[in-house]
Amino acid sequence: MIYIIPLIWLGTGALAFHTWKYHPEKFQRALQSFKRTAKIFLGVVPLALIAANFFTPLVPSELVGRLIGESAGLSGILIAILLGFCIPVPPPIFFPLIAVLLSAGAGFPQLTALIASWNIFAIHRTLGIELPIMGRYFVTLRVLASLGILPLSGIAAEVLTKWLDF
Amino acid sequence: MYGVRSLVSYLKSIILDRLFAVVAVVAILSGALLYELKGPEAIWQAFVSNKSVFLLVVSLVPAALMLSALIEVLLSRDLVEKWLGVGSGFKGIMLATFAGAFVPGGPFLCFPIVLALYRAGADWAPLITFVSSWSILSIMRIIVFEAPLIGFELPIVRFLSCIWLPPIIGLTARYISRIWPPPAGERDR
Repeated sequence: MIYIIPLIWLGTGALAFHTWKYHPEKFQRALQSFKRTAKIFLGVVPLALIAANFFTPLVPSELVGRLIGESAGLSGILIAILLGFCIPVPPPIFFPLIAVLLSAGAGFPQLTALIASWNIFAIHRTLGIELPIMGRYFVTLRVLASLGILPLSGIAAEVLTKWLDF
Repeated sequence: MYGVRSLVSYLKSIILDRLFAVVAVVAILSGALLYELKGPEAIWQAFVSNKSVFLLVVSLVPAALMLSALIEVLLSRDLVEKWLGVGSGFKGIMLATFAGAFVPGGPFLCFPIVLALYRAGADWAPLITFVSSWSILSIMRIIVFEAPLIGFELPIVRFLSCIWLPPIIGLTARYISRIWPPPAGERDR
């Protein structure tokens, strides 16, 4: 991790210099976009981190551990997929929640299935943005095509976790 | 004087945000509940326990955000459309997987691109592959959200065990769209 941070800064700096030098008008647009996204990280994300820290000691870890813990196996994966369906929150709230579940004893395979399911079905995004833009056929086709293989992601994660010895 | 005023209005727009209000309510409620159940030391612990996470967020996020903003403006729309067009076959699906993983930005960037590709004549399968890959494998989201909050182990396991999902979803979508073709007029969108 400690090596990745300077590398990202270096790459970003080089790209920013290139854009500033050769495409000044695009650099201005990038700055605007940066300011827009930075808002989330100045406001919501720190607050969500604090909320997650407040929330962690309150989560009934035994219950969650039983439901989607490492030992819950395939039924835990299926429960995690169902959970992923019905969590209508954007990433700044979702990932602190995952951090809470992780420290409450949830297993990697189950969390993999949970995140994959949330990624594919995120109700707020599918209904709020995708459906109005892309239409019913696109959304139905995408959901139908994804439904069957979600449990396999959890099973693959189970194999990988054992193999990597995490 | 103008700089101060624009800074104030920027900060105001951060706080006067619906998502911010929702998270604030959650933070206050869970904080109050924690205080009620476990006392003031638990509140203090909650602030102290995640120092390293805060450090990571502060050191990484500005660069990642700038990087995604730069890629957003430098990405040529024509090029993307060429990659994923009709007749791109399995190659198109693989490229859609690759492109989806690297396209930064949220749904408000992704779906307009997908609609533009659709209008330019892109096939259903590469588009669904692209959306799936963007949502499951997005590298920028892993760097910005996942890794700072939950460390690198889970994202690595998750990425490796999901990397084959988007192509399979794309192929399945192609198969389904053959036996269940789109209703008439769907192309006019």
